[in-house]
Amino acid sequence: MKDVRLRVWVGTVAVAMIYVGAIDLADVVVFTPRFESRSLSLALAFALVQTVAIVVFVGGLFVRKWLYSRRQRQSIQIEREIQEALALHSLGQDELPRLRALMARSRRDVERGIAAALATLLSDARARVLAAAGALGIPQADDRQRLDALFEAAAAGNLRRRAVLVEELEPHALALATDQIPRALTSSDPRQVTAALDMIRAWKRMLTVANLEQALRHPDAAVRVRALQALPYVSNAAHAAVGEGFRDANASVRAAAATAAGKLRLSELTDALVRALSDTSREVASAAAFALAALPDGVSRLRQVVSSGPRLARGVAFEALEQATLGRMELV
Amino acid sequence: MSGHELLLRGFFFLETFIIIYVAAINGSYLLLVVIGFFALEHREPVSRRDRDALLKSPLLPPVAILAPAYNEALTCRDSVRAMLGPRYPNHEVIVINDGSTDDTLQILIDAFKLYRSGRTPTGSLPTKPIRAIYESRDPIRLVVIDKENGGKADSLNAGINVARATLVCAVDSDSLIEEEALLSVVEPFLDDDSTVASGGIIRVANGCRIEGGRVVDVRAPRHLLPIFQVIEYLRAFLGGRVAFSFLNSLLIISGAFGVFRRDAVLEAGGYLTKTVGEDMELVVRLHRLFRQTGRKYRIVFVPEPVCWTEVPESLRILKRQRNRWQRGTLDTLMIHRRMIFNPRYGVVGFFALPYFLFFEALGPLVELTGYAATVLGLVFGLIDPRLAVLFFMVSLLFGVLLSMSAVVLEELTQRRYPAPADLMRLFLGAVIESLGFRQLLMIWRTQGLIDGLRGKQGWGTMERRGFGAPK
Repeated sequence: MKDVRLRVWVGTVAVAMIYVGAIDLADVVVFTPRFESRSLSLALAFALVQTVAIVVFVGGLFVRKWLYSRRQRQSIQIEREIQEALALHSLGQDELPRLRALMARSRRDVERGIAAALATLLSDARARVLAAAGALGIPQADDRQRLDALFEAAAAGNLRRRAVLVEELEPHALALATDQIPRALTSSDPRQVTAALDMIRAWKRMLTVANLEQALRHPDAAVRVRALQALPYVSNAAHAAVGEGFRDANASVRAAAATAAGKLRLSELTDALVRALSDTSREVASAAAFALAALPDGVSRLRQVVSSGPRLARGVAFEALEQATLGRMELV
Repeated sequence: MSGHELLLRGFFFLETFIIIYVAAINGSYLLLVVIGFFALEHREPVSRRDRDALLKSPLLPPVAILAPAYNEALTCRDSVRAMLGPRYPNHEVIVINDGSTDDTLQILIDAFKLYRSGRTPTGSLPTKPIRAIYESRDPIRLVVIDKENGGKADSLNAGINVARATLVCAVDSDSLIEEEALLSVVEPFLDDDSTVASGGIIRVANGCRIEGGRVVDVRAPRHLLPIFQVIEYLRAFLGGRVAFSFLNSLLIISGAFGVFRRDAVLEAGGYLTKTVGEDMELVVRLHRLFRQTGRKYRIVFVPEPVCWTEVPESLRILKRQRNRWQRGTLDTLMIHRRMIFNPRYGVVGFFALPYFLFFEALGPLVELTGYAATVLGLVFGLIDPRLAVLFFMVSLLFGVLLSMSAVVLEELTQRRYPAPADLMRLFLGAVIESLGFRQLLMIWRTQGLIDGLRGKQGWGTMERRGFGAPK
């Protein structure tokens, strides 16, 4: 990011210097010898430089548009050829000479094509493409290294990067759940912990993951929220932490605890959920109401609150009952 | 010194001031365009594969699209359908019927099978009373709030109160959002969790072919007035806002398409209802809040996501719109005047706000004074006619250069106008724009400035034909 900012500033200063320099040059070389008035020569120099700039812009734009269209057409063509060659190679046909010729035209497109193919192919087809990559001098990490590298990239990257990589890592969820994820959950870097929890949440698969309890008691409230959100997807997690979440000082944690109680159908927390309907935070009250609607005797408790509870609690209880009646219980 | 000499001296100083002012404003515009160009050139494109992965990801934050509606019977159905359409895994649409006197509410109830729901607001921003909240029996995430009339800002506050999503996206009810625009405008929040607001680009829909709430064929408008506005929007967005965003001093996120972190807006107190520039005022208030509390934050402009809107095709409506915009700018500057040149507010206080004060708010008045002084100077023989003509030509050429730069920036980075004939139309518009339209705008904006100083309030009426209406 700093590199980009530096380049933007360097470019801006360069253009400013060229612009001012051009005006000065035009003034000194073309107009000052002809006109006595300094203002006049300067104004004419401005006018000349601007006119030239306009002509260069318009002409340059159409040239660039034409070049871009030509590049686009070539790029589409070469991508098609690469995909075709890789597809045939994965089926057992020797397309190495063709791939080498395509590499000479655009190495980057071939690298991208191979990466895309490896992400989707399995067993023999994948092995053939991997061998081709090696023959072409495009190194590919072995599966374990690649998995580690992807996990690290997802953990170190921002949410956008993580969201993209999490999907790519999904086929390896079980393997990651036994090794990288438990390790990340005990990391001192909150980003590692957050990334591991995001993966569990995003995959929505039942996993056996160690060390989740540490994340549930993490000093950072945002991590505790994510840990509670991930809890329904961890088969070996202790549910005692959900009850503790109701006593958390942070409203978002209490709301996440309420939602987790509903998703896990923890009937033993019914009373805690009813008390949470009167929480000072409306977010917590709303989450508690929706969670109650998912519990076996929660609906009857909600009806009691609607008929005789405090005003704010009545409102959220009514809403949750209504959504339950319509069959639209989305516990977010 | 005689009276005549005094007058001459005064005139000389005025002319010098105007020349320096024009040089400063043009220099600033050019600087912004150049920064904008390089900032756009260095943007990393997101691959199609990554976009598709993001569009499926449950990690994307939920978004509530807030669309205030007042007497939008003609366009509301198509608009809401378009708003339900964006490819985004987790979003809901909240339409706020702001006390419409036409059939807006009934049309929505019939079209989307709405029923009165028990949904309760979780926010506590003060608003006019809410009469009812409706949801749809169909499996679509649509909420309609029916409330007493209170204006756009009040409606948005009501929407924020009812929304449950992490992010809220304020749009105009007649805006058409592109399919992946919501994802694009949310991306800054994914890139950096200190982002509190982001805005997209508003494009002119006049002249485009629209089907089913989607722009299916992008064409430049046929008439001059909307063409001038296309150029103007390109200049403002691609030239100005990209640069301000780069400097983290963006002061305006268009009310027609902007995304905010709901908790940040609640903390800031929501939209201010006593100004017509509520969109700019909220953004400046967010800058103020985060800088005062010393927290890291970003307010970003994203050039890719597109929201299409209909611009005025009559001079009367355009005049009202520009008057309102000028008043809104002035309101915001007056409310936050303590931030101007205040070192506590960094680049916002030292560059962005002074820029808006001297060049946007006062600029039309100075320009008008310049024209008047030049005419008087010519009449009384105080200035050389050749110099006056030359100065005018230089200013004109510079204006054309800036306008053309905006079109060039658009073509280099966005490429929305595929037909070369449309590009030519825009280039011609960029030339003709400076021969009357800009001067007209200058007069209207000066009027807006005077009205603002006199305390005039109100929006006026925006007449819409509707995207589906026959031409």
